[in-house]
This record gives sequence, C-alpha cells and structure tokens, in this order.
Amino acid sequence: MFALAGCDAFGGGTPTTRTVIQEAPPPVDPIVTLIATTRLHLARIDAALAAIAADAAGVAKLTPIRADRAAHLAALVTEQARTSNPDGSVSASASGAAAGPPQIEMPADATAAIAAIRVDAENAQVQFTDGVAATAKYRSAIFASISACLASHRSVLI
Amino acid sequence: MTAATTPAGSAPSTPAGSAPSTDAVGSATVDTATVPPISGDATASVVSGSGGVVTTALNIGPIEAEAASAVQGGLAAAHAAIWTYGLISAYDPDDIGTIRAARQGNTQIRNAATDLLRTAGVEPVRTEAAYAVPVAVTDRPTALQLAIVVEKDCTNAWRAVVGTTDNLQLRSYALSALSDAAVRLTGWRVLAGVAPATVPFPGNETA
Repeated sequence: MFALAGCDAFGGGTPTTRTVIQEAPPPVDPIVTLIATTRLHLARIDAALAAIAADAAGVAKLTPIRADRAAHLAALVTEQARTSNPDGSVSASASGAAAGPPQIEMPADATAAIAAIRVDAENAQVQFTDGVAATAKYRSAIFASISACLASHRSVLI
Repeated sequence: MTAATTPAGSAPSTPAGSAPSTDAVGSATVDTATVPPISGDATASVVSGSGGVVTTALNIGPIEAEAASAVQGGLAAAHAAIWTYGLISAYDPDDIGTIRAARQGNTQIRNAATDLLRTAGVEPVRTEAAYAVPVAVTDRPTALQLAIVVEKDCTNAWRAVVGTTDNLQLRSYALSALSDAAVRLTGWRVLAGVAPATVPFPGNETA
C-alpha cells in the first residue's frame, strides 16, 4: 500500500509536494519618483514666475530657486541614464521631451506663490530624505545633497 | 574660495573640513539594487544623581573603515568651525546671535560625532590648538567670507559620509549634519550679499 501511495513508513522516497521559493520583487528605484517630483515642481515654479511676473522682488526670489531645481533635474536624469542605459542616452520620457507643458495655475499674489513653492520644497525634502535610505552609496550622496539644498530653499522662501 | 580652514602648521593643501579621499562623487560603480539593512539603535537615559540631565547614546552598529574616516573628516570640520567662529565673532559683533547659534550647532555635531566614533570603536580626532584660515579677517565682510568657507567645509565633509556607508543610521545622521550646514551656509551667503544665496548641491563644492 505504501508503495502504491508513493511513500513509505519512514518518510523516504519521492516527495509528494514541492516547495517553490519565490523571491520578493526588487525594490523600486526611488529615482523615478524623485525625477517626476522635481519635474512637477519645476513646472510649478515656472507657472509661479509667469503668474507673478509683475512682482520684481518675487521673481528675484524664485529665479535662483528655479535654477537649483533645474540643476537637480538634470543631475537626476543623467544619473538615471548612467545606470539604466549603457550608451548614456536619455529616453524622451526620462528627459520629459515628449510630454507637453503641464497646465498649472499658481497664485498671482507673490507671497502666496512663494509659500506654495516653499511647501513643494518641504515635500521634496521628505522624498529625497527617504531616498537616501533606499539606494546605494553613490546615489544616496546625490539625494542627500539635493535634500540639503531643499532645506536651504525652505530657509529663503519666506 | 577653494582653501579651507586647516590646523595651524599643517599643509594648507589638505582641507581639514573637506572629505578625505572618500568623496563619493568620484565613485565609478554603483549598485542601485542594493538597499542596506537597518542597524544599530539609539537610547536616551537620565544620568543618575544629575538632577535630570538626559544623555543620548547613539549606537549605530558597525560602520565601514572608509565611513569612519569620513566621519573623522566631519568631526575635524566641526572642530575647525567651532574654533573659527570664535575668530569671526571678534570681527562681526553685528551678527553675534547668528554666530552663537552656528557655533552651538557645530558643537552639537561635534559631540554627537565624537560619541558615534567611540561607540564604533574609533578614537575621534581631537581639536587643534589653532587653525590657519584662508581668509585674512579684518572686518565684517571678511568675517562673513570666512563663515561661508567654514560651512562649505562642513557640507563637503558630511556629504562625503553619506556616500561612504551602507549604515542607514549613519547616513541619516550625516544627512542631518549636511542639511544643517547647508542652511547655515545659505544664511551666511544672505548676510554677505552673495548671489545666489543657495547652492544646488551642498557638499559638492570646490569653489
């Protein structure tokens, strides 16, 4: 009877069940989200600059912030391309070239617009801080540097 | 401004505050799939007989030799900053409150880095008796110029720490130190009238 059932009294023979070990999927690379966030915030700064164009002081405050965020986006896209495309080329979706300009409305009041951009900086700082713990050394240093820059943005966007 | 504060008598070509040779910017390889595990723990306790003095003991677990060296760079930058703010305060009485706050911030970083290295089994570097500064301080503008150099050194040092370790608690600590230094750096640039007031990549500056 044991022989017919494919086993014996001592647990030997061919096992009747198989254990399949399935590995967890690899963690999502945070740089994808960080690029999207930076691109969105850059578009919001552009919209804010257009909305408060008549306010010279407000424009003067946001213009260097925009330059920093543009530098962040360029660095992030380059870093992503460096590790995902061996030839170093950047896809249209990664560079944002294929996407049209988003329609974003920002307050015409400079104080309100600057406050909104400050909130963006706070949110982005949280994301980049989280990203520091979720990636390897080299990339985490880039995220850390951008996170620190965003902290400094918060200190001047007042 | 490429020079940095250096211990008096040492070769000025090696910034005391800058990262040693461990700056992650130069790294060529990367493994984005490698997410380091959480390690270590932090505890707080009341010192017996102190009347309620709370001390913190940060035990972050083992750290890499390269990371320990980078933390030493951060600690050396904090030592230099604390000393240099004493010099700055002598020539910039108008900003004494800001100077005091910046010095206090660097003192906290110094104390935490010292404890951190000791718990990692590394003897922390000591402060120097004096430091050679790259700016001849004679008035408020030159004092502000030196303050900018001091905090730039600190950002360089702490960014390097992040790029040398897989220890998440050490990364978090170094990021806090980097962010604090970046905010202080921006504050000094505002006071000095330097435009732009912010830099896009704090800790990655050579100029």
